[in-house]
Amino acid sequence: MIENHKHSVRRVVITGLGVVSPLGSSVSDFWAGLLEGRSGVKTITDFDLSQCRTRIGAQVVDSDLDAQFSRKTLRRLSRASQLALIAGAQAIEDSGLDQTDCDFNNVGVVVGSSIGGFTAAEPFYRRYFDDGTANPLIIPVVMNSAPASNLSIRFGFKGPIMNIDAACASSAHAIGYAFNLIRFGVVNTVLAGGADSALSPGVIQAWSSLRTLSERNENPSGACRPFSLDRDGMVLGEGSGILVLESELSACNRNARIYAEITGYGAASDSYHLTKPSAQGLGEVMRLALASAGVAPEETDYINAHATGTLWNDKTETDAIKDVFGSCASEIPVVGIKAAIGHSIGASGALELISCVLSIRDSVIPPTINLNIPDPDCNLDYVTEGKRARIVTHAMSNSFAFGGSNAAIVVSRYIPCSPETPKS
Amino acid sequence: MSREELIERVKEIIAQEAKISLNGVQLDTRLEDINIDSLDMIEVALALEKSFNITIVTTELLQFETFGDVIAELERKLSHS
Repeated sequence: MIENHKHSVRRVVITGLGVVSPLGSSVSDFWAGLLEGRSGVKTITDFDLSQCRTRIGAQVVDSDLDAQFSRKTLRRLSRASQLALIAGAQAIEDSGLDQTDCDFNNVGVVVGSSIGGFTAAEPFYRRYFDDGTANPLIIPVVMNSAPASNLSIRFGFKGPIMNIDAACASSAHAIGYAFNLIRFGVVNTVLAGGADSALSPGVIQAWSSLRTLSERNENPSGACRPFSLDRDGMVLGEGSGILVLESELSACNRNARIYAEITGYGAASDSYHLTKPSAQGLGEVMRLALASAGVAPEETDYINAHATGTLWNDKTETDAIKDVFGSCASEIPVVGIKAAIGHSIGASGALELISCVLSIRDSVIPPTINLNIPDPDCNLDYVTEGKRARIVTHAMSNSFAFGGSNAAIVVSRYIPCSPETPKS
Repeated sequence: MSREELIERVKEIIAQEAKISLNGVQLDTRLEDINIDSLDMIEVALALEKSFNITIVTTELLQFETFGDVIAELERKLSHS
């Protein structure tokens, strides 16, 4: 039995959001795209994929992206670091985080990034194998901890900073770890989230050869089909989602607007197989997250699923949800947004959690797009008709990774509870 | 190559590698004051090695504090070659 710490530890709230995504480089564009059921998946033309079975991806297509950095700075930033800095700046501005009312010595940075180093390394190593030139920037640019470090350097945060690499669950674990840092009193504020890019010729080829990617090159926006009987794989992507997490007291003391509260985090391992998920493992983190939040299965209003659109993930996740939520599983809307934004590996969990926060704020949930043919093995309420009005008090966001590292986060509507509520 | 030519050539290389302008740089100008850091200097050293067919070892590289330090070391190396 997991002890419920809810009332003996600090409450953790969300006061800022930042997004760079294939649906747009702002929270509002991202959210509007999701609610409209748009897809950010396109044919990739930036590099040659003619020898690859998959030639589509979910790219960030903001033409001004490079212009936000000097030529000198740009050379030192991987794509993941660039995306992190842009989303991070948005989140900080959104939360009003300022040194006048926040001690930056006590602000941490925890970012999930996993594949961005691979993509960033490719041009460097191509040159090395071509002409023997080893660029001195390879290590500082390519290291997966660079997005977190660049955020700390750029904004002056001097609390604990780190990257968490747990493959596809990286940023969910990053947010969960940040939640614990604040909950247990290590720091008051953490910039937490994910930043990653899976889009380079070698990385796309590598995932393709693992037979995980959709090969519907002729229909990019309709390629990824979570929970659909005709699903044939995921679509790789890139992006960054950054959140400002704070103790309730810190947020109230500086009169910050509070979007929602993180109430639960479950982390556990399948201990099973490097690439095949286990329903038991997926279910375990959902149970742990609910227990730590003190939320009962029937109180859950919405599940944002991992929903990669692969044969195994979607069926296994469905089985796990049925097991955990029992008779109420069919009453809970379950949505997969990777069909719209692709799978950005280390950034996915953060982008998906941000969509849950926005569902709580606006009382509306986005659709699962491209679910054309119901799968008898996937028979939950996947919200296929378009966006749906729903009051969301508790939402769960699932992230499951290759290697069996799984995470689930519960995010809840923030309700100040007197008399413990601090004076603002 | 005259001293003036050497100085101009090194300025070109630093400008190219560090992506900065070296207008107004004097021999006593500190490298960090013109926003050249240790990572820039590694790239500059690599380019100088290629351009002048010399070797700059790491301990020498770490001792460059001013633009003049770089010129003096190059003059020393070139006079021995």
